[in-house]
Amino acid sequence: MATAFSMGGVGISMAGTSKKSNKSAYIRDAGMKFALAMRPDSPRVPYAKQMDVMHAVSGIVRDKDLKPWEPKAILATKEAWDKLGIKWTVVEGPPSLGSETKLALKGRDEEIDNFITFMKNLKQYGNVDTICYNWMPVISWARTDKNTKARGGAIVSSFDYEDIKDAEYTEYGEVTKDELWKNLEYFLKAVVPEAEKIGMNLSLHPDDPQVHSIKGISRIMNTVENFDRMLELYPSKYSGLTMCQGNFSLMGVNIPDLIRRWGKKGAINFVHFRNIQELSGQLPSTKFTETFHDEGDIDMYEAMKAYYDIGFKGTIRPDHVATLYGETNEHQGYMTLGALYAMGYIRGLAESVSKNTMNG
Amino acid sequence: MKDNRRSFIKKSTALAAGTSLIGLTAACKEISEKDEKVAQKEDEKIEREWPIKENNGRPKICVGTSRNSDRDTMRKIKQIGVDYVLMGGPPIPWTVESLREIMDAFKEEGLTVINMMIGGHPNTIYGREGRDDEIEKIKQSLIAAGEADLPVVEYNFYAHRLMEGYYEKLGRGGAGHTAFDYEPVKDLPADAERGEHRAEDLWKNLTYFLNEVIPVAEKAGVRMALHPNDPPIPVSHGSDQIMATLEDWKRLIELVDSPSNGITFDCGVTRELGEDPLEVLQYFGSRDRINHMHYRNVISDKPYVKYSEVFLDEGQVNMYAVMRDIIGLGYTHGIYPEHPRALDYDKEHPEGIRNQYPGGGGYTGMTYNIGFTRAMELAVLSSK
Repeated sequence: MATAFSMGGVGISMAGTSKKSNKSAYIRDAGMKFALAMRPDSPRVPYAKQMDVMHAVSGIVRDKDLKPWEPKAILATKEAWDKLGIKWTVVEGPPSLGSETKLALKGRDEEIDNFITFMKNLKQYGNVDTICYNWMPVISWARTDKNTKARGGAIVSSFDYEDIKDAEYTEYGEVTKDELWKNLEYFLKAVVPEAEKIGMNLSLHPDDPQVHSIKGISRIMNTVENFDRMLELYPSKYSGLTMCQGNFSLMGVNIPDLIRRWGKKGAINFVHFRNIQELSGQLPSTKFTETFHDEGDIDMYEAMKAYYDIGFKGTIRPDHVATLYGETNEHQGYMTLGALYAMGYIRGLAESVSKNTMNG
Repeated sequence: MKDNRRSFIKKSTALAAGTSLIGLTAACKEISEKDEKVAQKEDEKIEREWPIKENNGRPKICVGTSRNSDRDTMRKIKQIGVDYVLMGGPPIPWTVESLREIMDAFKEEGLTVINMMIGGHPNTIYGREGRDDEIEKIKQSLIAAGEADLPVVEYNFYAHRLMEGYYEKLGRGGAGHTAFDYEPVKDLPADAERGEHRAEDLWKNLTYFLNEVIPVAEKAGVRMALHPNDPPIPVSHGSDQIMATLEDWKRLIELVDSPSNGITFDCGVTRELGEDPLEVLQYFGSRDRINHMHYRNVISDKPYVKYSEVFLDEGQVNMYAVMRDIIGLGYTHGIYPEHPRALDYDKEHPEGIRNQYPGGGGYTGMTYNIGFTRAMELAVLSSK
């Protein structure tokens, strides 16, 4: 199962929604923070600047002598971005939030303490106000095929539960949904009050894939109802979610409608603007493929219009782009040409929506 | 919620039946046009059309490529979601066979050729001996185009093209803009081979040409599109330029009154003249004389003299309004987001820059341009 590896987390971003003040003026990028997932030393950085994508969804720059929640590590990351002229707005896949917390193992309280330290330092020293986290212990992001052919021979990834339904359990055996819920509640009750004090937008990413379990480990952030339940565990404007369009679409909902509903609640803190094609006929989907932004199940214009209408001003990034001709498939979903295509597409939509609303 | 779920399952079933992992575009192609209309009607009852497909009643986003493109080149185009291409045609006279051979090769990869540039008529432009022979070959070519279902034939009528005025100017992140300045090059001398040509002579030659070929094109069901002078300056190496002002373009379409006698509308060049692209689009579009279109943006410092071709998202042209208005006019021909910017990614890769213009780019820049243009097309079609 070459497929079930972790992508190091999912991301988040800046403060979610705010009221539009002036509908008649054209606002570049509809006032949203266009971003790419990258590190300061990523080869993507120069291309991002040429695309005028000036926000980064970035992890902490690794330093073997430092814990990633230490002020020094965070400061170094911020300085690296400042030097590049790019604003760091989101951390996806935060440090110190692992199996201990999600499975309630020994060391959980220490991990949560470190997570709280991370939040505080990230805000204070990194000036970052959004953390995208997930509730997928042990097995994170997973695909069963990372060499799926798309149009013109482009390469995308896909998932088919059939291929892994008989996979062996992990060392953690069977993990039930009830346990995951209990652990999530414990985590939120510990961290959200701290997030409120400092203004950190916690943004829970849906499970990807959003199936009920993989290798004996259940998944709970895999239905819209469960997200509604999560939002009530510790209701707070700082306990929100990442609108990852692909995964929510695979739960069988109309994405523009969902954006409006959760947008009104102020629950959307960060956006993964992506498309997807459902192939299983089941809910939540057990078989799907990534697509280009301009195809797939989600009406992308209506989605962008919904963000505009709810006044979303946070960070938005494409995700899981196709690998195009001449590129290696080394980091499936994160190669360059597909990202540039996606940024052109997202910018075109944002400009259109903004100009369309101001009566031309 | 229940309704959403029903429509979701319905959609999923349809997809499972119609397609594998290849994606929607390919599957939709297999549906006949009649079925497509029925399917669209049914869909509208449940939800809006998505993804929006280009068809005979809509404009077609296209890119330029070589008529000898290999399969990899064609697939690069397909990958960024483009189904239509244009190119320089073969040497004149074209024959149905020579055109079909090219068009069929593209068809095999799912690409439709919608425009070929015709050339090889210098004597016609300069009014020299041999022009009747050239014109005869062009007439044969137009007839062949009609038979081969090539809808648009583009051409130039340049006395000279002032390439020397171009230079690269660096924009955001060091991306290349194609800048132009007329001042330092406006007095360059005529070259011996071409000589100097006066506007009224060129107009006479153009009139002679159009009177001959437009009736043939019209009968063949082919539309001709005259490319504007680009750069749009009054004199190049001593020769006047006759497609360099709005008045010139208006005069052109009055020479022969036929939809086959049209222009390539370039919203960027229009802005380089200091004209309003939306007004100009309306003028020619409402007369059904836009037979091809270049979709690009520009920052003009001084009309006819100094400008920079920039990213689609940053110039003086309201690209959304251009898209809205051209679709609003019922335009069905090509929209070509040409002249991509020079990006580092292309500079770093062998043969990445495929462009004769300083500051011009290649596939990577085109990738961004197509994404942007596709989104604008979707937005306009969605908000109709």
